[in-house]
Amino acid sequence: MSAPAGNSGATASQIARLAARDLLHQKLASLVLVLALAAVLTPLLVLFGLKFGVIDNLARELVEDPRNREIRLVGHGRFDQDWFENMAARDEVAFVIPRTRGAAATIDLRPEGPGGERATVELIPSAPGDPLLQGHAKAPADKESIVISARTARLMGAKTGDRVKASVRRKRGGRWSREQVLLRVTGVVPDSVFARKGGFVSPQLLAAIEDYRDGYAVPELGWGEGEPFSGPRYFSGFRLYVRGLDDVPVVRDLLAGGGQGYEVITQAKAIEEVRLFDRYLTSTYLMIAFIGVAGYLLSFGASMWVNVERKRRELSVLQLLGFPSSVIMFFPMVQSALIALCGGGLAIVLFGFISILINNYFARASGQFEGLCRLLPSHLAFSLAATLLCALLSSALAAYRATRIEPSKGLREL
Amino acid sequence: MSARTIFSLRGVTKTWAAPDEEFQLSIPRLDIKAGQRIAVLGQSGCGKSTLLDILAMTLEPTTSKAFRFEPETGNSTDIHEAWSSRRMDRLAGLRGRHIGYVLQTGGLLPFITVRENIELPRRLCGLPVNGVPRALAERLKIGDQLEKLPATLSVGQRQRVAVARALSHEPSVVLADEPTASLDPHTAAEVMELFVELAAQRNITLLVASHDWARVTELGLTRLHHEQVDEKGVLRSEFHS
Repeated sequence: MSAPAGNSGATASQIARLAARDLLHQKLASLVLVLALAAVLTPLLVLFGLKFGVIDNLARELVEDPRNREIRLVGHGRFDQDWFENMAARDEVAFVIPRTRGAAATIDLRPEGPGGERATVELIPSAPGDPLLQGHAKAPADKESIVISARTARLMGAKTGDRVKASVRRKRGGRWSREQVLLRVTGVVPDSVFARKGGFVSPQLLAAIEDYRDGYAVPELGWGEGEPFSGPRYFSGFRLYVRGLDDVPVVRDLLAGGGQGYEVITQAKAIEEVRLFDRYLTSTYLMIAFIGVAGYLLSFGASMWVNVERKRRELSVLQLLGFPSSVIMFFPMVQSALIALCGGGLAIVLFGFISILINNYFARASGQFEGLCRLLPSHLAFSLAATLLCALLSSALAAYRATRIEPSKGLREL
Repeated sequence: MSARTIFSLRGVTKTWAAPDEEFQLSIPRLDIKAGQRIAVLGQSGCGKSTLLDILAMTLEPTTSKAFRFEPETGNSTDIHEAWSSRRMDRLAGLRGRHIGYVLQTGGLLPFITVRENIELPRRLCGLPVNGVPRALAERLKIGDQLEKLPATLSVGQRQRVAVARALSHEPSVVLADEPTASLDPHTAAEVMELFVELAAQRNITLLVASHDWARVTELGLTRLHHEQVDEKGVLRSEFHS
C-alpha cells in the first residue's frame, strides 16, 4: 500500500484518538459490548478456574499424598543393612527405613512436668526425608527426638518443644523392670497424617527398645544389666515410599518377584481408578471448554463485525475526508481492542470475586481445599490475549471489507 | 485567471444496470479551469451526485479514456491510471489535500465537536490550526457553536459546519452536492451566498450541484452543459464543458 501524503504515523494516532472518542460518545452501546463480553467470558474463566483448582489439585494431591506412594509389607520378613542400602540406592525409591517387630514398637509416654495423661503409643521409625512428615514436622534426627501425633499431643497436653518421659518395660528372668529416657518433642503431625496414638522416632531408638525388650543391655542409654546386642542386625519390616505413582508397580514387582517373593500392599489399583476418572473428567471438561471457547470467540467476533457494519457511514466519511483506507482500518480495530481489554478486564475482576466466594463457601464446608477455583496470572493473561487477538482479527477482517468499497457507496447507500 | 486545467476528463462513463432499464452517466469531454465556479444543474436522478463523486475520486468510473487532476501547477496526476492500478491511498491522499466536499446532509462526525470537525481536514494535511477554523466559523455565523456536538445543532447550522470543514484546509477544489437543499429558502440563500463568496475570496475552484437555476445564475456561477437522451432503453445523461 502506498504511503499517503503527510505523516502516516500521525494519521494513525489521529484515527486511534477518534476511535476512542467515538466509543466514549456512544457510552451505552460500548457498555453493552463490554458487558456482553464479560458475561460470556466470566463463566468460562470460572469453569477454567474450577478445572485447574479441582481436577489439577486432585491429581496433584494424588501424587503428593505420600500414602499413595507407599509400599507396605504383608506379615514380616528378614532384611539386613545391605538390603536397605540397595533399596535406598534405587532411582524409584524416595525413602526407605527399617521397621522393628510390631510387638516391640510401643512405649509409654508421660509429660515431664505435672498434669497431662499417660499415653501408650505405637512407634514408627522415621528420619529426615520422611515423606509422611514433610511439611508438618521436623523429622527425628537422633535418639532423643520424637514427633507425636495430634491425638497423643491432646491426650498428654504436650506441644512442640516440650520434653516427655518415655518408659519401656521388660520381663527378664520372671522379674519386671522399667527404664526411662527423656525425649524432646520436635513436632506434632495432624490427624490427617496419623490418626492413632503414635510417635515417630529414629530407628536407633527403636533398635534400642527392641534390644532392651529382648533382654540385652543398652549402655548408651544406661538401660539394664547384661550384655549389649552384637552381631548382624536384621529387621522384620520396612517403611518404603517410591518417588512417583508410576514407580509403584515397578517396585512392587521387584519385591514380589526376583527371588524375594514378598507379598506387598499398594494403592496401585486405587491410583489407576482415580487416574482413569481424572482422564474422563478432563476430556469431558475439555469438550465443554472447547464448545464454550468456540462459542465465545464466534459471538464476540460476530459482535465486533456488526460493530464495524454500524460504523460504515463514519468510515466512509473518514474516507471522503481523505484518510487512507489502510489507516481507517485502525478505527474499528482500536475500538475492538478497547472493548476486548475492558470486557476482559471486567471478566477477570468478576472471576476474582466469584472465585473468592466459591473458595470461601467450600473452605467452610469442607476445610480441605484452599484453591478450589483458581487461575494463575498466566492463565488470565492468556485469556486476555486470546480475546484481544479475536477482536483484532474479526474487526480487521470486517474493516478491510468495509474500506474496500468506494466511499461514495458507503455514504449514499446508508 | 490561470489557464491551468484542474480537471480534464475524456470519455468517462458510469453505468448502472437497473432491472428494467440501464442508466448511463456520460462525460465525453470535460475541462474545468482553476478558479472556475460551476453549477451542475438538472433534476434529481440525472447523475449530478455521480459526477461529483467521480470528480472527488470516491467513485470509480465504469470506463474512461483519460482523467487527469492538476490541483497545483505542475502537479498533475493520472486518475485513470490510479484507479486501474487500485492505488486507493494515493486517491485518498489527493482528496484529503486538495478537495473539499459538502454533502447534501450529514457527513459530520457525530462524536467530536464542531471545532474538531472543522479542524480535522487541516490536521489530516498536517497544517497548523492557526485560528482558521474559528475565522471560518465566525464568517458562517456558527462561532458560538464550536464546542458543541453536531447532533445539538440545527440542520442549517450543520450545513454551515460542513461548508467550513470543506474550506478549512484551503483546498484547490470544493465540490458541493445540493448543499442547501434541506434548508428553508431564506437560510439556503444565505448559506449559499456565503459559501460562494468564501470560495471566490480564496480563488477556490467550485462545483455546486443544484436544481435551482435562478439562484445559481444570481451568484454568478457558470452552468455545465447537460443533455438527457433515451437511447434504445438506455437513459443517457451527458455532461460536458
